[in-house]
Amino acid sequence: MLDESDHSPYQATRWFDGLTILLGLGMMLIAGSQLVATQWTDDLYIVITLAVLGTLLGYILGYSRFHPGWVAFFTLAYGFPAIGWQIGLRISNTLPWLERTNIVFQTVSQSWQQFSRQEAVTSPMLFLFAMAGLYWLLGIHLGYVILRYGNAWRASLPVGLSMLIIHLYGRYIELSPSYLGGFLFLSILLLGRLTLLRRIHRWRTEILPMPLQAKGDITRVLMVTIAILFLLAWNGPTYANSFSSMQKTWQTITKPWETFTNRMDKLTSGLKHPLLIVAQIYGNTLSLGNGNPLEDDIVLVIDAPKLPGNGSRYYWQATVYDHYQDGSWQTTRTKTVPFYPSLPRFNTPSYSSLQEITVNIHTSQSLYTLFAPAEPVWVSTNSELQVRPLPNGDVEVLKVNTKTPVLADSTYSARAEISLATEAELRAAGRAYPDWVQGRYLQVPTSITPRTRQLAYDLARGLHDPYDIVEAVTQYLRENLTYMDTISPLPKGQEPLDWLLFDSRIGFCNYYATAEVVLLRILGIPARFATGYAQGTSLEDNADLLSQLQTTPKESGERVIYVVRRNNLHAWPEVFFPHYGWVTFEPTANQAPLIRSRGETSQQPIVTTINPTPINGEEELLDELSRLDKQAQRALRPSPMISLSENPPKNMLLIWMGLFVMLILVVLILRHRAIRQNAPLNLPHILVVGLRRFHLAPPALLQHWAAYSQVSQIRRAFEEINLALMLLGFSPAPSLTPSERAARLADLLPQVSIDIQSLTTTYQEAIYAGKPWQRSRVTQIRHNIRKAWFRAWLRKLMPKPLNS
Amino acid sequence: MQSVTALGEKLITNIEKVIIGKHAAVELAVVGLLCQGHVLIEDVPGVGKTMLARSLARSLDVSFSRIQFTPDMLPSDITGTSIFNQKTREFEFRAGPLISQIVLADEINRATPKTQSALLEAMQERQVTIDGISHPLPRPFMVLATQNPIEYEGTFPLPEAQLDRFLLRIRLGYLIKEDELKVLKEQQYRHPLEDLEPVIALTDLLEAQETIKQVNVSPGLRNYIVEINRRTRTHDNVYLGVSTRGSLALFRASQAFATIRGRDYVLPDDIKRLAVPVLAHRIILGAAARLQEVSAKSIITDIIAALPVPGGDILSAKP
Repeated sequence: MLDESDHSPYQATRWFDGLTILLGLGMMLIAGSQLVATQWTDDLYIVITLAVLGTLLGYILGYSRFHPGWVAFFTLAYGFPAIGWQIGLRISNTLPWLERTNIVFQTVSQSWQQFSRQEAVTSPMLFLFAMAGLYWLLGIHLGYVILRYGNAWRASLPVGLSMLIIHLYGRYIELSPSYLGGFLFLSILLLGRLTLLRRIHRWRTEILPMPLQAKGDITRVLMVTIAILFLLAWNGPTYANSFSSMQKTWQTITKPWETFTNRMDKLTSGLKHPLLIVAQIYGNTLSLGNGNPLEDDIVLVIDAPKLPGNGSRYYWQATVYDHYQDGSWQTTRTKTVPFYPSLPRFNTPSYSSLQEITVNIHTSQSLYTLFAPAEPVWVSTNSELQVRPLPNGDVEVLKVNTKTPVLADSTYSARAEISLATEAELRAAGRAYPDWVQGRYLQVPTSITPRTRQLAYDLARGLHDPYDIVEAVTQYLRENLTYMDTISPLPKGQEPLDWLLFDSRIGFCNYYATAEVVLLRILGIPARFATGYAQGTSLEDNADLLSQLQTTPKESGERVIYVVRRNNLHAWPEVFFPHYGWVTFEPTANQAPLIRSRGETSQQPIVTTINPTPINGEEELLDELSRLDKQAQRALRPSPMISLSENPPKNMLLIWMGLFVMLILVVLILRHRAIRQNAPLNLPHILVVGLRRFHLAPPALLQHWAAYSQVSQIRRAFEEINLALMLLGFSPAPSLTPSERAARLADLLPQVSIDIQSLTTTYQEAIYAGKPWQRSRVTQIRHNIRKAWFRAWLRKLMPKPLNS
Repeated sequence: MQSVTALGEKLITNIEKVIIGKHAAVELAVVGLLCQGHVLIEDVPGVGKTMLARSLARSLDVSFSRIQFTPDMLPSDITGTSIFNQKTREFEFRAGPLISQIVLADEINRATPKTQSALLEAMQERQVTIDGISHPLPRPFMVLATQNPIEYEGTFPLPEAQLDRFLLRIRLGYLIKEDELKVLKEQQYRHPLEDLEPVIALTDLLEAQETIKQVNVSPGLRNYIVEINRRTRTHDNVYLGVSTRGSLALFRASQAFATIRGRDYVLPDDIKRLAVPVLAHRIILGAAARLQEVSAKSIITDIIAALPVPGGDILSAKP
């Protein structure tokens, strides 16, 4: 038997089923969430919204009788405004929409030009735009195919494929496999459900008796079976590993897959950069990775005061991480607070031997995360600070994200407090670490091997002061590890640091810094992992570049221009010293060692060119004044600064998830009731009954909908005539017979009078004599009539010329 | 079923050779014939009441008699009487004009109630009883009665309860100008009735009368018929509504009407078309209605206009 959908795709059965629809929505939700989890750029969560909206539109289009050509048209016609709207929402609340559209359009076209010239794309907008478009299309495709063709394979394959590709890319950021798993679970469920629906459809056409509860029962059994299968498959490796014989078998099974993924890595490593190296590469997670040779195009040109001494350097910090586990760094427990340039400074803790400096940074790529010397205290743009609140009300600033991107070829300023603590000061700092530092920056993963720990103890043997220990560890790493900017993939199952320190002894900055942080933490010295750019090359007297930078009027002292290139990308450890805060060390062998001024005592003056240190006697007074000042400032600060808000992306995701779960619950409850009462689920009918129960008259439209959903196909077809009459300004009285209605419409639409007559005859024969009728023919006639009344209706809507 | 449609068409075409421009009335007369019902033709003189009855009778291969009712007419004048035969020395039955297959009862309201009753009883019982002996009437038996609604002087209006026995009441009305001119032209030399030949055989007619009973009336439409009748019973202006016989009549008449229109199922249109001819003469108006000059016809029309047709739209009842 031929399936109806095979010969007339837009007149055939629609696979309308509540559970199927929910499954499709769930699948798109998971797919969107997976993309968001990659954190390739900010604002990726708009993809979830678009995917869900797209799926809903896909359902509507799939259910409709539109020709596929029209479907494609609607996809585009709704797609551009929807994507533009979502991206525009992210730009700025204050700008008028016209301007936002303009910005989106310009950025995208600019990025496209860069991309077509094979340059590095500097703005994430094009990528965001592409992803939003892709998920919009995927959503529509999924919804459309499910409802119109009921084909689970065709519906889920494109989404699944894109998820797989993202997952393979996402290996560098340790993407959880549960997204793929969840998607697979739902898509198998969808396949089962649609197969069941198709069977039921066949049984109906062959008029086989089927018990009413069978559908629900089969679905439930299907769900349970798939869930059990999944649980088994998920835990398969664990079980297998616990028996050595099974372990071998398991490895033979998984080996081809690993080979495949390794190959895929090579295939995609080239692709990783052109699109994804947007400025926002600093997510909340950073995987150590295998490294990539980087180009030497200029990314930042920075005007900064010259640092004292020969050995000290600037580090342009982007973000810091606190939690290390299995080869990736994470920032945990963060909040977002807004910052405005009108505010005096970030609410950071104060330490000794800090010097505030101002730098002007000219960027040649669009930035979301701002670079600044450690520790930043002020930036010249509206920003969102990723911070961790400290017990005393201060915050630890981890990352500075701008609200609107700092576009390529523009300049921003930042103020920072750089540490000028001397060796002697640091050596005397002691170990009186605050609780929040101990609680957060001494974390050591349990997977660290005993010989790593032993190495740490060996390095610290005989040393007492933390500073000396840090120096010893730094020195050890500089001398014993070879620098290489790419490394071969880590062997599976081995702890990355163990492998680095004892087996390969090859690594790049990520590995050096991680090794130092972990070794110090083993020894009870708090340390953290920072990323950003190294200082770059200095151009001391480059007038051209100097004039390009719209620097603020020079303060007293020497200024230096630093040119930072892409291959200056760097990571380094920062170690906490009581009273002095975070101090940078340099274990990476390809960088020059950091030499700190020896300074036997803290009183010894340091070269200061910008802001002379206060004279000794007034220091206490100034401290007191600044503390009072700070308290006053805190009181005056606008409330948004105090109320710490959660990250919006997580909120959005939670809202969507919550809605989804609620929807499932409501549908399940209604279905349960419907099955119990032996009545099919009918939403409009339920609404009408519900309103009547409260003695409320249901609106006419709802009544029509309820009636429509309950009557037979042929009555729905004839309703076309009633609808046409209504829209053409003739509301048929209930006492009119079908042929009277038809005659009336034939007067209004003489060009389809034959179709109207024919539909009416078929209808009358069907409902008054119970004769069979041909669905395809009726659909065709109905289609003709619809076209005619639609045209007449449009003509009616047109304004009439005054003279005629 | 198709044969019945063809029969109806043939009959109507034949009658329309004489009765011009009165298709609806002719159709109704044929409906009455097919339903084995009696038809009351009510209109002013000279519009063709008698001619309709006569041409119907002539189109069939049946016996026909005409009774001109007068106030002095006795029941035996129409039913017949027993006469003593002196040769055989027995009473023998001399059939009256009523014992015929098609009877034209002209100006039925001129007869006395006694004679009217005799006629109406024969119509219902389909037999006449004289001197204790029942004489069954031939099949088919159809009375076409005419009545003049004006000129009430010296008439005996039919008791309303007895009007119920007529399946249909037909009104002819005046002709439009073109049709009237056509009549003048065609009857310039001779009356077309004289040329009318029987076109339907008796057996065919009897068979057709059985066949129409098979026409499908959907449950929704049965309900529609009953609902119309029920509403006449509760209507404010109605003293006495339509009886169950009225429902049955509407049911049967719509079956016949559907057949003539070439269908084997009834449409709500059929019922709406037949409601006034079948029902209007069956209701007795209240005193208020008479004062307000509300006619039975307008009451039926109002009821139909207020009653949703099953299957009209999706909000209506199941057809």
